[in-house]
Amino acid sequence: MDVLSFLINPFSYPFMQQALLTLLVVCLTSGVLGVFVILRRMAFIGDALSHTALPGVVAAFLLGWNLFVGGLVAGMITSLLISWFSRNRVIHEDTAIGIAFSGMFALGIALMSALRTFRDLSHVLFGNILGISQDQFALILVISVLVLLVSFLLRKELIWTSVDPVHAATRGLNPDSVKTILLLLIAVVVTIDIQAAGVVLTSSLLITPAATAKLITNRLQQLLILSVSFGIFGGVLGLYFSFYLGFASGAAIVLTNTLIFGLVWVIKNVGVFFGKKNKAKASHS
Amino acid sequence: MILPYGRRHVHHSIEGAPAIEAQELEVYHPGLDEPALKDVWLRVPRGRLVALVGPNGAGKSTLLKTLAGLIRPVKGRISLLGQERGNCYHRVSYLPQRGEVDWAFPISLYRLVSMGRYVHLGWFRQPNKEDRELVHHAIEELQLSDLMKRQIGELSGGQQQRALLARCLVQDSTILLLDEPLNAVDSQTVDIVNRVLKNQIKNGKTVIMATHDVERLDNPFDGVLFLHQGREVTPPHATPYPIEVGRKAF
Repeated sequence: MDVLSFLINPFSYPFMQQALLTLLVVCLTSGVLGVFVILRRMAFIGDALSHTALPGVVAAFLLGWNLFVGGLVAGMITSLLISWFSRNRVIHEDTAIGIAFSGMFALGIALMSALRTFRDLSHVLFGNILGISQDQFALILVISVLVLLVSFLLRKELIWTSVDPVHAATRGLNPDSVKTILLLLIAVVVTIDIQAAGVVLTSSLLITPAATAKLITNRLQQLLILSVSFGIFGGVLGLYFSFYLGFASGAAIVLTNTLIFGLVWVIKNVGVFFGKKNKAKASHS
Repeated sequence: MILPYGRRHVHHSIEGAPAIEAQELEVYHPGLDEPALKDVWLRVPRGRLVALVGPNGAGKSTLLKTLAGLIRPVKGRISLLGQERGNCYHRVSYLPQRGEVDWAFPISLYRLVSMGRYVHLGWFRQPNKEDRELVHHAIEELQLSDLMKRQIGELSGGQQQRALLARCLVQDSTILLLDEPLNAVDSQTVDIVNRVLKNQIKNGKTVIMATHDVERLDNPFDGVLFLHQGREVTPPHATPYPIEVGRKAF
C-alpha cells in the first residue's frame, strides 16, 4: 500500500468522514477556549465540568431525552454553582470545584449503577467519535459557531478580566460575571467534546493542545492558532491510530495529543540545554 | 451606541464640590470580624496631591479600593465630585498594586495601556482611532514608546509600574487613586512619575497616593492621611502639611 492510499483509505468510509468533520469543529472550538482555560489556570475546572456532565447524561438516558442536552444542563448548573459558591471568597474556587466535581460524578455513577447497565453508556464515559450521527454533528456545529461568536465578541472583556480583574471591577465590569460566562462556554464546549473523547478524557482536548502551544509561544494570537493546529493535528493522527491499530478513538486522540505535548517539551528543553551549552562554550573561548 | 459596564448611571460632577469626601467609613473584608477601616474621614479638594501613609496592613489599599467602588462600606458615606459613590466611576481611575496584575498573561504593553479606555467603550466595542491616539500619547508621556509591542511579562518592575500609570492617564479621569506607584522601582521611574503627577495636578486633577515613604516624592504633598490598623492616627513628629484631609477637615 502506498503512502497516499494509506492516508486516504480510512476516509473512504462515511463514518470516518463524519468523524473527521466533527473533529475539525471540536478542535477549533476547544483550541480557542483552551487557551483561556490554561491562561486563567482553570484546567481543573475543565476536568471537573466534564465529569459533572455524567449525571445529566444518565438522567437524560433514563428520561429518554437527548443525552447531549442532559450533559449540557448538568454542566451549566455546575458552572453556576461553582461561581455562586466561590463568589464571596470564603470558599475558594478550587474547593467549590472539588466538591461539585466529586459530588456530581458520584451522582452519575450512582444513577448508572441503579440502571445496572454500564454497557449502554460506555460511550459516554470514553467517547466514540466514530459513531457520530449527522444530527449530532449539526448540533455540534451550531453550538461551536455560537461559542466562537460569543468568545470573539467578548474577547476584550475576557482578556481584561484575566489580566487585571481588580481594575475591571473598579470600572464597573464585574469579573465574576465574565467568569460565569466563560464557565458556561467551557461547559458547552466540554459537552460537545464528550462526544469525541468521553466524560473521563475530554478535558485533554481542551487543555493539552493549548498547553503544547504555550511551550512554543507567548503571544496570544499565535497561541490561539497553534492551539487549534495542534488539536487538529493530534486529532487526525489519533484517528489513524484508531483506524489502523484498533485503539478506542477517544483514547487514541488523547494519547496522541499527550505524545505531541511530550515531544514538543523534549525538543524545547533539549534546545534550551544545547543553547545554554553553546553560550557557555562561546563565553569560555 | 454604548452599552456601559455595570448598572451604574453616569452623572456629571457637581460644580464646587470637593473631589473626594468620605465620612465615618467602616469596612470589613469577607469572612473577617475585625474591621479593615474604622471611622475614617477624608476630604480632598480638587487639584491636590494627597498621600495615604502607613505600614503594611494599615488599610491604605482598602481605603483606595473603597473609594474606587470595589468594596462596599458597611457604614459611612462617600461622595466623589459631589456625586454618590458609583455615579462618577468613569471619572475616577485606579492604579492597583503591581502584584494584582497577572503579568504572565500574553499581551503587549500597548494592549495593557489601552484597557484604560475600556470604561468609555463598554461591552463589545473596540478602541477607535481617537482611543488609539490617546494610548500612544500616554505611552510617550511615560517614556515607554520603544517597549510598546513588548509582552507585559518582559518589562522591568519600573516599566510595569509606568505602564499602569499610563493606563490611568488614558482614562482621562478627574481623580487618580494610585496604590504604591513608587514601590520598588528604579530612580528613572521615580523621576518620570514625579513629572507626570506634577502635570496632572497642574491640569486640575486630584491625586491620592498610597505610600509608606513620603520622602520618595519630589512633589510636596498638599495633605497626608496617616493610617494605622485601619484608623486615622496622628504621627508624633509629623511635618505640618498645607491642608487637613482627615477628620479635622470636617
